[in-house]
Amino acid sequence: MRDVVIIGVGMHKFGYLPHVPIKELARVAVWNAIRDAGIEAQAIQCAYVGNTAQGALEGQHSVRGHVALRTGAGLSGLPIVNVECGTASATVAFREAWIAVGSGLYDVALSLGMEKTTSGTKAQRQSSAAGAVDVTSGDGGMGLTFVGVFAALVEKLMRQYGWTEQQLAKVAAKSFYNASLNPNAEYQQAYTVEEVLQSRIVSYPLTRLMSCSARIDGAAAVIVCAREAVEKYTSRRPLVDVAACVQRSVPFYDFRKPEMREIVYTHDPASVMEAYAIAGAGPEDMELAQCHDAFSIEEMISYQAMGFCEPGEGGRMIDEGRTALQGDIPFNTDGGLLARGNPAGATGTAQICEVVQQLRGEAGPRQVQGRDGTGPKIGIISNAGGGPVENAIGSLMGVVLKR
Amino acid sequence: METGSGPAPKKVVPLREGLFHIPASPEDPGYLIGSECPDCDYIAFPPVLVCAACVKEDTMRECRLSGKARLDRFTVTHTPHFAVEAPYIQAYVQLEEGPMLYTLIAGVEPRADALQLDQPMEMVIEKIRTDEEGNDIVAWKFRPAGG
Repeated sequence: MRDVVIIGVGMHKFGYLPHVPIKELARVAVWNAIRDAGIEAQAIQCAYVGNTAQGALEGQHSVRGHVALRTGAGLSGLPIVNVECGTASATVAFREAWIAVGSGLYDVALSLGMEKTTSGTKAQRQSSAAGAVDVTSGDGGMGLTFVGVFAALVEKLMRQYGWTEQQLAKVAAKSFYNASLNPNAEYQQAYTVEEVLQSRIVSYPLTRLMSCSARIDGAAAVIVCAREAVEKYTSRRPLVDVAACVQRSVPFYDFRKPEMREIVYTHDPASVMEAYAIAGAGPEDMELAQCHDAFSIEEMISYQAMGFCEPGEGGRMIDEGRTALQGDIPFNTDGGLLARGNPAGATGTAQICEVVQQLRGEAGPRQVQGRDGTGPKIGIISNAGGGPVENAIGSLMGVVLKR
Repeated sequence: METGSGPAPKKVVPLREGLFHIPASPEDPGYLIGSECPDCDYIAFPPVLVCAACVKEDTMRECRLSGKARLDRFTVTHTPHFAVEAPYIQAYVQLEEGPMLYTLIAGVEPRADALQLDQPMEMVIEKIRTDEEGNDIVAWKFRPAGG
């Protein structure tokens, strides 16, 4: 593999945007990334496009990326690959771009995540979401929802670890605060712990403000380049290194063994641990983190799954403010899936956009300072796609970026 | 073209084929259909084609599951779903044969105090909803054992 660097990132603001077509979301994200990279659009030699729902909701079952890039972003002629891996889709698209450049076949590759879930009917949206599990299991036809899956876990973990609803609400309030400092976030408003607790119960004990929105649109693009070829394409600096980019599919869990159940309850750490090993760094070196927090409980689980604390200490992490913007390991600095928003197919590249901006020192009022006060130098991203827990037939992602 | 007199008789339709046996009479017990690997004793539900535990191609055989289970966890959901009216309970149970599966709950009110973690549960085949033609869509549910 050649060394690969990120030269450009760009987003279309996430949010409830029913009047913005998906090709416009794609155009804005891609051209923001092109401008950010300081390259000619024609320099992009191949593209990978993540999306999950446009087939189910708009009938664009095939060639989504080809349509969006050609009729939206104006890119044609280049190889384009459509990527679908649930909420991990755009992280996988990014990884494919990294492989394409790292292999030496191309110098410059685009990854784009785009999603529009304000299209279609409510039944189509619920059916589309239920399609992220093995549909032959019948679960989606029996009312299985992701919020239900995680709500059922919460009570178990609250009992096991002594976590409280107050702590779940603190995680959410932190995410909304971070999002309020991020112009690209779905939520532009901070909510207090009390407001989070008092919002409508969706699936006990998770409230509306502890759960990501089901109707949300957005797009995020990342352009990578071979380090040895950067001079040829752009003078934009600083460059951000892709130090590790790991994808696994969910392994076989033998539920006859109780320890296997524990892994599933508390997120499988395998991809993140492998990413640390490849990057030659551990959780103690990380200066910011992004995780898959579609529900606030997932962030508390991720504190331990990503190696930042012992099992059960997630409650203390949030109480002590360690994961706030000023903490020693700021989490989901852009608001995360919960408050930046989780248009599934666009989430992975949005996570990368945020870490790149933080590493470059360009994150504005939500900029974190890093251990030595000169800005963060290294960060970790965890993402996952596909049905959770027992039906987990999906992808587990771990990415380390550094400057 | 309408040719008959009156509505078509209501049918009982499984939510998915091949996952469970629908009782034909009160004496006929319903059961879940799994698959088992005689080489390593791994049992899967829903059935799988190849054993994921020992990864040999042709070992899995269809098997009948006991329907006896332990309540692993649950939540009361207050948002209606296209398939189910709210409030309802989403739950995971672990069969005594090992598989963990998603289920709706029968026989109790959808309240947080209606169930206890780890309590014994038993499987029933019940109506989930009515489809557009008025047929009963049925699948498994679990209820407190002996209930």
